[in-house]
Amino acid sequence: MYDSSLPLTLRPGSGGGGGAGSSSTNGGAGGTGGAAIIFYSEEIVLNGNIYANGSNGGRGDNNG
Amino acid sequence: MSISQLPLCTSYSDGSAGNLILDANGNLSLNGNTNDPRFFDSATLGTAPDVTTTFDDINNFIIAPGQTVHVLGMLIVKSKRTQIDGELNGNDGGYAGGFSPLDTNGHGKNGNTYSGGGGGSHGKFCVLSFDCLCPTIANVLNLSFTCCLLISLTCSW
Repeated sequence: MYDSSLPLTLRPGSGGGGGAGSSSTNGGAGGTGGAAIIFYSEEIVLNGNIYANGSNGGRGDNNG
Repeated sequence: MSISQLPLCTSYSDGSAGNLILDANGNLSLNGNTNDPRFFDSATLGTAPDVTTTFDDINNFIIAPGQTVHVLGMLIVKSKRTQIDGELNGNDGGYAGGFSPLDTNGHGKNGNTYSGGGGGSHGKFCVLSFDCLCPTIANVLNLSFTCCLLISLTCSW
């Protein structure tokens, strides 16, 4: 059996901070962090893709 | 019988929970059940960006070609076999980013561009491989213990 006490720390990524707006624009929203994924398998076959990246932040708006 | 022919006792899963599958028709199911509470929706595993979701005792975890399973938060799958022919997509699955500081008018008070912030820090995925010595092998090797050995640990950063 696998030892769950092994020192493995993994957590989803945190999003980046929002971009600053100008004196007349609001700041953009920050990006979103990616997920964290762990497999415990006796056999792993990877023919496709695994992604865990954050997204880009949003733009400041022009509502000022 | 050589040692290489002896059975290994690595076991992360007894397979009793059945198969976790996103099939070729885009149907996500666990042991035939499409309404598991750990499914955020019909194509997403996990319940929230800050929640760890674990699937124990999976027999086969399969994502069919051309299909995508999305992930929220941290996902742990313990299975006898994992086969990803499609995609497991954890992009945007973590914590949301913050907003820039605002001035008293509700406008961004630092900087002078419209640009948004940078993307979130990357999440990670790991592939772990363990092996352990069956008691019979341990006896052959005159070892007084059995243990699991971490053979490899590969993570994205």
